[in-house]
Amino acid sequence: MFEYTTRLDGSTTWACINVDSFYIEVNITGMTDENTIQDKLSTALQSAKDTISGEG
Amino acid sequence: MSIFVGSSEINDIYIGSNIVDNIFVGSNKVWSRPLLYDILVGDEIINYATYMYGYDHSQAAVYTNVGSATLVNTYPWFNSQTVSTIGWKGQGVFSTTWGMVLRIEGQVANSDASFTTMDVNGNVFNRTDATYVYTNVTTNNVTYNYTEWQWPTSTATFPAGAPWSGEGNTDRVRFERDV
Repeated sequence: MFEYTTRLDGSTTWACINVDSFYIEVNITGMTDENTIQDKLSTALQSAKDTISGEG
Repeated sequence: MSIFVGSSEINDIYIGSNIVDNIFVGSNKVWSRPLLYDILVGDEIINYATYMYGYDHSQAAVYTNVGSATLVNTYPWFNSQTVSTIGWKGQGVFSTTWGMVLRIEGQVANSDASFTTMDVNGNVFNRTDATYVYTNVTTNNVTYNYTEWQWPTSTATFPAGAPWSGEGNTDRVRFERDV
């Protein structure tokens, strides 16, 4: 379960987390389901980690 | 907003010999000078499978066919920090699917002042559709300090969905911003 903050950017709402040396923002505009937001944050964090581990 | 002469979109506007960065109508800004790159499309291959398709200077020390980027204009963008990747990436970033990645070395804000859209060979990627990542971490004696915007897709088959015209071709990348 991520504890996130939100940031308004014009008409866009970003969910922001700072985890394991990664600062991540995902667009959650219009999203109300907490599980959906958590899934999106989880996928983004995994991609960020995979990017580092996949570097040559 | 774009300005066209016939069917050609304007990239630069001059008043005499002075180049114009922004045009206003009253107090409303209606045009900003874009940032343009010409990308020689490469691909990185790991274990006989393509890993990156496009431009990926961040991997130039490891792989040979990482493409190249020619800056068409010199207008300072991204705090004058280096654009190191404009690439279609798969395994290693998006697990089993593919998506677009823009990497800039150092920290760049996630805002319209950085960019609003990235047009790759006519395919538009909106900043607000991307996941924003900033990291400054040292792993295995390698320091990573970069900003990325990632546009994941559900596409699992390479090169379906990739915006490039083909390996070895030169494609235009155009950034717009609102400053």
